[in-house]
Amino acid sequence: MKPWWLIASLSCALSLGCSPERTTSSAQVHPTDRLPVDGLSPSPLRFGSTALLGSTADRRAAPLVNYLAKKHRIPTTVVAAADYSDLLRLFRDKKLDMVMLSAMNCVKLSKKPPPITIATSTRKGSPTYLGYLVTLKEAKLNTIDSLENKRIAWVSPNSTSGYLFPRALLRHFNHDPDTFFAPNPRFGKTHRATLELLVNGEVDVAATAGSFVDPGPQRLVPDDVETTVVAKTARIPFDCVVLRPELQRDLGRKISDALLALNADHATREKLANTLGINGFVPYDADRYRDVEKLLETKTSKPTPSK
Amino acid sequence: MLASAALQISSKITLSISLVVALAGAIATGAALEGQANEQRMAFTRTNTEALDLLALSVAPAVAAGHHYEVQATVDNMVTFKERFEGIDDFEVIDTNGRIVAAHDPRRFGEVLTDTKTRAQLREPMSTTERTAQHLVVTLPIRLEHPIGMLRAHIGLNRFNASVRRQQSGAALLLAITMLLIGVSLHFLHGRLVGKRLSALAQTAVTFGKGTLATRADITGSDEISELAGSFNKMASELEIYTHDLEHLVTERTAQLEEANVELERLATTDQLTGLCNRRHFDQSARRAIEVAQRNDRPLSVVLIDTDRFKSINDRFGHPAGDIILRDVARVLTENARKADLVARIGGEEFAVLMPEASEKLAAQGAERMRRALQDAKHPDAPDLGDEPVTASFGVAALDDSLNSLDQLLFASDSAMYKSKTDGRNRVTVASAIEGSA
Repeated sequence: MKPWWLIASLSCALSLGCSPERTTSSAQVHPTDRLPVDGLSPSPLRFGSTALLGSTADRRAAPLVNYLAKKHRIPTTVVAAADYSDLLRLFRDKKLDMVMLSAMNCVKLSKKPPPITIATSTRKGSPTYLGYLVTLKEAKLNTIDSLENKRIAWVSPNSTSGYLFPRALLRHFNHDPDTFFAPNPRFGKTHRATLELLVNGEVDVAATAGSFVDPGPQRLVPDDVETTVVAKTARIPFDCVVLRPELQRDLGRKISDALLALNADHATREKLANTLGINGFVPYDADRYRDVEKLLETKTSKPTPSK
Repeated sequence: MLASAALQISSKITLSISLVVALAGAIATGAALEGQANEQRMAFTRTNTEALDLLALSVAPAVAAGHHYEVQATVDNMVTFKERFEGIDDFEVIDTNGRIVAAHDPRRFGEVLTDTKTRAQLREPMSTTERTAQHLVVTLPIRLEHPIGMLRAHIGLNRFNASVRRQQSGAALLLAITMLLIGVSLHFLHGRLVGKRLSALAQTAVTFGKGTLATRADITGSDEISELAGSFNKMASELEIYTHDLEHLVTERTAQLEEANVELERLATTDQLTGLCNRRHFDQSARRAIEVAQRNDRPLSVVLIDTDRFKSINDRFGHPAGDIILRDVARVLTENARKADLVARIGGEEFAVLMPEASEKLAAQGAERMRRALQDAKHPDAPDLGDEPVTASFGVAALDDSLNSLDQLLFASDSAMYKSKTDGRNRVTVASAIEGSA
């Protein structure tokens, strides 16, 4: 090879290597690209929802169902589930075409084949929320250290904000969540019940999601009860939206686009904030759920059985 | 060797130029990059400070109301989407009591900062920017009508610095490539325009120096090297002509010298009047011949001849006539001598004949032949001498045990010749016949 060809090739390679902007050879793959082209196109689409905060599943999901049907011509019906576990079971049993799963269940979904997760819900524009350790103000328990040997109420071992993340928070401050509190922790099963345990004085501290404590439409604490937020957890990603893997690709893409377009529909957002507790969607990003994944892999996050 | 030396010198020059260019380029690029990096740092600081200012303004009402969840929500949005706060590693909103209301890491909520620095900043809220090795720490007061807290952000510089370093590395790489290309170009140009031609010129000089004077440098162009080659060729041409002339002159002078030497030798060994060998030559030749004869036990004789009454001829007819007579005598003797004999004039009118391989008898016969020839000889160039012929007296002596040297032979032959004179001239006398001779 002539030396000048060698130099030219080297220069070319180096200049390409130094290029500040590199283009990828292929465009980013959309999650719905993994759906079959000739897949199912159910009508109506079955959307799973749970009853919450005294509202039925139908009522909670109504704004979203109406939005999909009227604005995007995607007829949708609501399939009610007892709780998040039931929701996951229904989805696995192919009785749902679209579902919103909690972060923990979102991670628990089988990785093989990878789920068609298209979006993460948001509230006030944020795709994350926080878990709180909350006490009654009158108890004057203001710091984590002051909670030692106090009675704790968790939501349930399947709760992200009412169990998984608060326990991780304690470990972050070098406390063993299984021994730090008084023996026999309580499990309220729902956020409302958990906070009731606190308000009723049955426990000294409760673990729950911030939105159920902070002033706002989701607050579950009576207005005349003053609480103290003792600690906040790390950020928890909101529910993810997953599609059934047998759906037709075009339908999947249509649903995905519709959800992201909802951010511009202020009326629907407002309604959703008062029912589902979320009011928007962002494209799914697996990185947001890494912390949840890690915590689920931590064996110490298992609860001490209540006697 | 000369060629490689020339190449080394020119290569060093090229290398030096390349190094100077590279150094100058590196200094200039380094200065430019550093200036650019400073500008980027300032812009980075300004952008972040402005964005944080807006944030401080937006969270102020929530901080004032004690709505930590709203402050945290704002922070969460900021952290989650990282639209304007890409490099923020840590972030905290602190109330007037030093308590963290909201933070990049929400778990820091409620933490009370008691360090002196924070306390001082809370007492006298003001915007500050502090640079550490890894962070740009921006502190901004949160105000409504009066300070209600402060906002502190630790903006990581690693990514920014890495970006600057990437740019600098890229520029350095480009510089290196440029320098490499310049170096290669210079090397190529040097090889094509200087090195090869200088080498050719040096090789020509070497060939020329070894004696191939017709060699010329075949270098074209109009630059200094071509000029140098032209000068070299001109010098070579002149040197070739000069050398050629010099060689011709030397050859000529050598020939002249040889001729002169031959002439000198001839003059040194020849009698100018008669053309015969002179006494010196005769002596040298006779001695060598005697040695050879003695070594080989061979006979040798010497005949001494004296022209009769020559003084009378000179007196009567003058020296020119005498010279003619002497030349005639020489001619007759030569004509009648054997080919191996050496005839010489050894004195005024005296001649000698060296006769190798001749016994006394044979030499006497030869002498007699010469005597008769001389007696009968005509002298057309000489004046009329009358009836009296030109004659000579001969003395013959042969080499033997008693006469074993030239001097002895000459003495003996001279004695015999004298005997011929005293006996009436024009005769041959052998030395052995003289009474009392050894």
